[in-house]
Amino acid sequence: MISTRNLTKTYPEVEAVKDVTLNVHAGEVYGFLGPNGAGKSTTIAMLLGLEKPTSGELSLFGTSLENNYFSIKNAIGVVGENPYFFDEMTAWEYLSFHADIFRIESKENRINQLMEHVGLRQYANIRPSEYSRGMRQKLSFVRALLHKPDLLILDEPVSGLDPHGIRQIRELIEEQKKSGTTIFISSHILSEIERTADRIAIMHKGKLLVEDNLDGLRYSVDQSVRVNVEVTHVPESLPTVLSDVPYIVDHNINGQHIEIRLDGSSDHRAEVSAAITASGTTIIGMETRKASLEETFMTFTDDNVVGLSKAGEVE
Amino acid sequence: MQTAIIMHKRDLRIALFGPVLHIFTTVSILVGIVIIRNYLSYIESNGLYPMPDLFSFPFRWVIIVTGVYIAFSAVVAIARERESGAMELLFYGPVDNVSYVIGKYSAQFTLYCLLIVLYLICFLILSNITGVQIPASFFMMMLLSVFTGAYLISVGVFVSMVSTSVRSATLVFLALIASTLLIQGSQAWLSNIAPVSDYYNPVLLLQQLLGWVQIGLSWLSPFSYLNYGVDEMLRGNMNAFLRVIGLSIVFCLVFIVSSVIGLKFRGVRQ
Repeated sequence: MISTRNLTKTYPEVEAVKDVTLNVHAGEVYGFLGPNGAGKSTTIAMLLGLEKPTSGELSLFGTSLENNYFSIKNAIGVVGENPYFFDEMTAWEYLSFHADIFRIESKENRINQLMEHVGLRQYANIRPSEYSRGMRQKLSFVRALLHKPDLLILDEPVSGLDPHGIRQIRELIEEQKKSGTTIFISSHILSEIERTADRIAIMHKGKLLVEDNLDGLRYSVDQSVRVNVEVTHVPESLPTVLSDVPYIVDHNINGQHIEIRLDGSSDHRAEVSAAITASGTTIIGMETRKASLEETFMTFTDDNVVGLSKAGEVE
Repeated sequence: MQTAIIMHKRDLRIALFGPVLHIFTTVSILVGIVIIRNYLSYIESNGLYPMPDLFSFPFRWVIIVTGVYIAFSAVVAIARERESGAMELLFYGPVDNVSYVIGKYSAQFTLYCLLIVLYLICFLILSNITGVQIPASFFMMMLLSVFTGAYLISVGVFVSMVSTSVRSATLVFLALIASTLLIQGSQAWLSNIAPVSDYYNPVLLLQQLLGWVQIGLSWLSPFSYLNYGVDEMLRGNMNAFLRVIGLSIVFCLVFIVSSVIGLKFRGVRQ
């Protein structure tokens, strides 16, 4: 669906995007992560033809934007980071204008249907400048969905929204995901990407550090398994017992809670349970915890440990 | 082209429903009426026509100011659209540089033509009220003003396409207009001074210098084209009149193509 090879954008004073090679498959939700200034928006601008790449190749739907500009643009829906509107138009006029540009037949029905769906129908004759930020973002979504795009590009879609607004936007994204739309979502709100994305790419300082699914990313930064155990009490011998278990990499006791990191060779939970019980205490809770996307992201983007990531993918 | 038409309609609608255009048009017509009234008072008190064509000067004044206003509003509207991010929004969809420039330009040009027609109606009414006939040269001037106005608007569109902000676009356009009018005015003023024949006289040197600049400007300025075309038409030199129309069309196309290229290089982002 989207494919880039060695995509580079250099400005006079800075190299914003360096040799980015990524592939977005049809029907997937592709999370595009990176801290502010990582080069995400510049990459998206190049995908949309708003910025010309300095070098590298880029294709959408298997073809270049130059060769099939109008057919590609007709198949893409975009929600930008900042929802832009025309001051002099009401929400309905704004959508009607975009429906005309996309040559949508029976536009009234489509606009009313989508406005109803996102709960903006009764506000259709109000100017978007009078909307709340969440309403404006929903209106941007409606605009992007008017022509039923095959590819949805979302640049920081939940940035600046309150939890209620974030939830509404998340529901919209999930609906589109279910309907088979390919979604390219750029964000620095990691929890949102963790919930929705099938595959994730992490950008940092203009470079694409890694591209994988969440489990693959976790594995590439930390192969160990974390187990949290809650016990009735902590016997004096417990630290020694845990230290003697060969597959426990390290442990941390905090009150009645023990955080144990095991090597990822196999499932050692039964042996851990037996060792703890043998020390003279009773286990009242045990859960395996995977590294969160935030931890994974921080590991990848932390300059001091960047070198720990997948061999060959990072300088 | 469909996209250009949609944008054309939108811009035209915004301009026609906005208050500024109507205020400007009313003021322009009132100024034209005041000039004609002064002429009529002069005729009444002296029994003489001040000039052969009563309506030419006020009409020329009105169309020059209207051309500058429409071009200036194009500059501001386009630069503001880029600065607000609305231009980027349009390019998310099936809008390209060519359709954008044509859509924007054609809306402003249509607006200009509508105002010319409106002014014509007003002047016809005035002619009817005053009983002074409008000569054929007036209509020829009106025809010429359509082309020189088209050229002036294309300059405004070009400035806005390549500028970085509303402020810079406004300053560049106003500086262009002001310098053109200033040079033409200065040259006319200096030519009235008769310096002592002396090769080292600074007034003479300045006259010569501004004369050269004026010659160069006469090839570029839409105002010069309008004045030159009207003068030649009144002298019966229709070839020169048609040449001015042709050159206005050529320069207009040059600036429209330059606007498309300029937009491509400048980009649509803020």
